[in-house]
Amino acid sequence: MMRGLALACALLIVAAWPASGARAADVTEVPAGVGTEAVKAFKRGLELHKSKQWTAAIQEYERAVALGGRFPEAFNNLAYCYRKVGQIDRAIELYKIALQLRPTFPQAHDYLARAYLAKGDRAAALREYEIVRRLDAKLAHCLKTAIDRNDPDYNDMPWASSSGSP
Amino acid sequence: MGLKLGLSLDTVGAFLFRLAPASVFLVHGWLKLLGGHHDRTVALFLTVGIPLAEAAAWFVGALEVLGAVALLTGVLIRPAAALLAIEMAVVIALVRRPQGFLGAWEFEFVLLLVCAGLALRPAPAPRG
Repeated sequence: MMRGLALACALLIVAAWPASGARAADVTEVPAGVGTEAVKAFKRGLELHKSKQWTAAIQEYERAVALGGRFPEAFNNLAYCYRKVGQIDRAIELYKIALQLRPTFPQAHDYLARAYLAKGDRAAALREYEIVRRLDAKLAHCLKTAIDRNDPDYNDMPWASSSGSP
Repeated sequence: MGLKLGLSLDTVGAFLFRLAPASVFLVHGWLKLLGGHHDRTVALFLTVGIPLAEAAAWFVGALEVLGAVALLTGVLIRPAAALLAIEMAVVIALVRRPQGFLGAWEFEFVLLLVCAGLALRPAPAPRG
């Protein structure tokens, strides 16, 4: 009985470790449960984001988050825009939500480090750098330079990714 | 109901019920140990605040590989299954719960249902 129960428990919750990381690595994939209206709002936000219309982009991303719920890219990009308008605490809060939804999201870790740097918390920025280093070496190199220069905006590559997560 | 090879449906079902999680744990454990996903696992552990992330990643990888072997062979199956269940409970609490049911769980439940369906059968009808 106990053996069967233990096996059933193991099977019930098996494979939850995201070892393959396939979903986490593919930021172009719309997460399950995110509706089309949320994606549309996200894409509108992205266009505004690319043209650096931060306030308008924030409105669309807020809509995407409200409609989409668990949408890490939307939280990440929304946080980015808040960082750009100087609302660093709000940005940090949103990056943390993005990372709850996708703990191995390299861009969110990178930008969270930059947000900490903008707040003057170099130690926290370096902690995030240690994570980025394990996820994306190229991104980590840029981030380290930004930390060394104490410049959160240095080469933050807003358009380098075609993934929808600038 | 018995099969012609002398294997009962119970035996085959029970083996499949062990094979399914064993194969998943084996692959994931191997990836963590030697398959190039060690750094990603450490990053995950650092993100969710698991202490001694580097050592914990090695430990979890080894646990999954050895646990899979135990599930397959039946040796020390009860403690191995319990440890794996504890590990997965930690994963769900720290990592998967915020992602929601659709975000992370759907595949695992399909796997569960398929294997349970193969392993289980109705109670035999009373002889009369």
